Amino acid sequence: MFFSFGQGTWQQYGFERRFNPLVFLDLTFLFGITHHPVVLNFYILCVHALELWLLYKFFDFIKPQKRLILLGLFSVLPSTLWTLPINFTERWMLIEILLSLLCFKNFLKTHRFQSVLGFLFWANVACYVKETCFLFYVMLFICLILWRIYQNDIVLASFLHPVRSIQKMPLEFLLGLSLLFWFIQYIFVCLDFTTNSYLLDRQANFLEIICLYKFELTLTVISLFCVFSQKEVSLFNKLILMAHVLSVFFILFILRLISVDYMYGITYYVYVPIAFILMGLGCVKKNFVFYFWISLSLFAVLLINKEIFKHHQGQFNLEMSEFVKKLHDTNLIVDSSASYVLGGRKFELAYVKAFYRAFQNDFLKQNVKIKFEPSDDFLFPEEEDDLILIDKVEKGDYVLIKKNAQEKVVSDITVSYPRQKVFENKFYLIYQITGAE
Amino acid sequence: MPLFEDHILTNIFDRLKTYACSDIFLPIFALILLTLYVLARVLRPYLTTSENMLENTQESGSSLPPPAKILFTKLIYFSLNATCLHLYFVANEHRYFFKL
Repeated sequence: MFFSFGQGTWQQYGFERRFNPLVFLDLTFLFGITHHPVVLNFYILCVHALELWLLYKFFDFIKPQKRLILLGLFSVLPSTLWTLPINFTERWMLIEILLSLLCFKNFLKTHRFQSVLGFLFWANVACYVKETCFLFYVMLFICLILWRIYQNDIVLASFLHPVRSIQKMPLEFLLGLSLLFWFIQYIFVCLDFTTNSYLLDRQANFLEIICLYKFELTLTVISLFCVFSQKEVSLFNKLILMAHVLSVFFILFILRLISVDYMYGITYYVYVPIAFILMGLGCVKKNFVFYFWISLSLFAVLLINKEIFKHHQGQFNLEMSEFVKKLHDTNLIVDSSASYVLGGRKFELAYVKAFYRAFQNDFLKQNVKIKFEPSDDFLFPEEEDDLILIDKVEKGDYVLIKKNAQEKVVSDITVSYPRQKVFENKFYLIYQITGAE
Repeated sequence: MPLFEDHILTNIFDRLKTYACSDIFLPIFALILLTLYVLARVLRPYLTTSENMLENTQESGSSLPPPAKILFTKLIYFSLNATCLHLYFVANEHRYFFKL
């Protein structure tokens, strides 16, 4: 996202950790048109409005007033509210999935060929935007096949006559083929689950998953109960809901994904499924029960948002910076673990510069020099000579380290010197070097 | 800061060129879409659904609630959205940088 500001994104194909070549394509062109924050915020609002409108259109079997209330609740869900900044692609994922499902629904109503093409196109686009979309379509495919087995459309003899089976289930065949194409590329391009560092960095244990996704899991159970207890809900909607529920369970209990710690509490991995799961509450017939669940959900959402908001105000960063502001006539060595967390990605010059600039004006007055650790991955262009790398460590220097950094990158240079802990909070440690050569 | 950049068309063209020339994904993606299109054309005569998966759906999109209910619902909806936007703009200010 960051590079699309200057020169546009490039296809991330062959990048071992991720497989999302179409991600941030919209920002590439948007940043070619404007960099103005007001226009960018307006753009976010427009995209958010578009996804709300598509949700409104898709759930046309729910009464309008219930739909509007559910959409209001959707807007303040932790996964929605905290992904409103521009660097999240989840809004477009939801739009693409909704467009594909609207085409699917239209095909079921009218049997138009163009609807099939629309479904396949948007489903493919969504899969190449983020991997979690692929998960949803796999689950949808599984649900459709299971339904066919239940209907006796697929029996043992079907495997002996594949062409006849394909003729009987063309849409399932085309969807399965799209997913197969995606999966073959993924196998060739990306590392598998056990060695993929992106997944390993974000995996948590069962207890952490339950704590982080407590609201989403409860909502899933309630929504499942609400939808499957109603006979009026169509098979199509039940299949879609089941596909989303299965993808939530896969993300939470197989992949075990949580947000990285500088995005504390943001449940963006279940952004798309939870939108559909929430709308499932609209299937409740009795108004009293519906408003009871809505009130309860709203109360829980406000509590969770308050907690995340407290964290995002940067209280831990603030505590650390309050300490650092008291320093005078010294050097502050920023360990790469800290510059990684402060910026968002390890060794990206732009992030480190952002960290440096935030301190620079105050520190010039206090005569504090910020020094960064040299690294092979961390190459400064020649014109960036205002960023100082560590040459030697002196007695009295301070070292800023991020606690429990996901990648242990504590500097070898500073570790070898005797030092004393002078500051500690939940996120940071600051040592003072007490002896040097 | 200007509201819009200078040379918008050139910018877009450059970015399009950067994206299109940076890897081999686009030709592969185009090939996949073309394959799916051809197969869909071949299977077109069979593209009918045997059972109606949409049965039991009672569309209520056209039946609007009474005016009082609309007003009430809209009020709740917009107040929730206003809260959301307020939180968003405040949070955005504090997001990653320190209060120095």
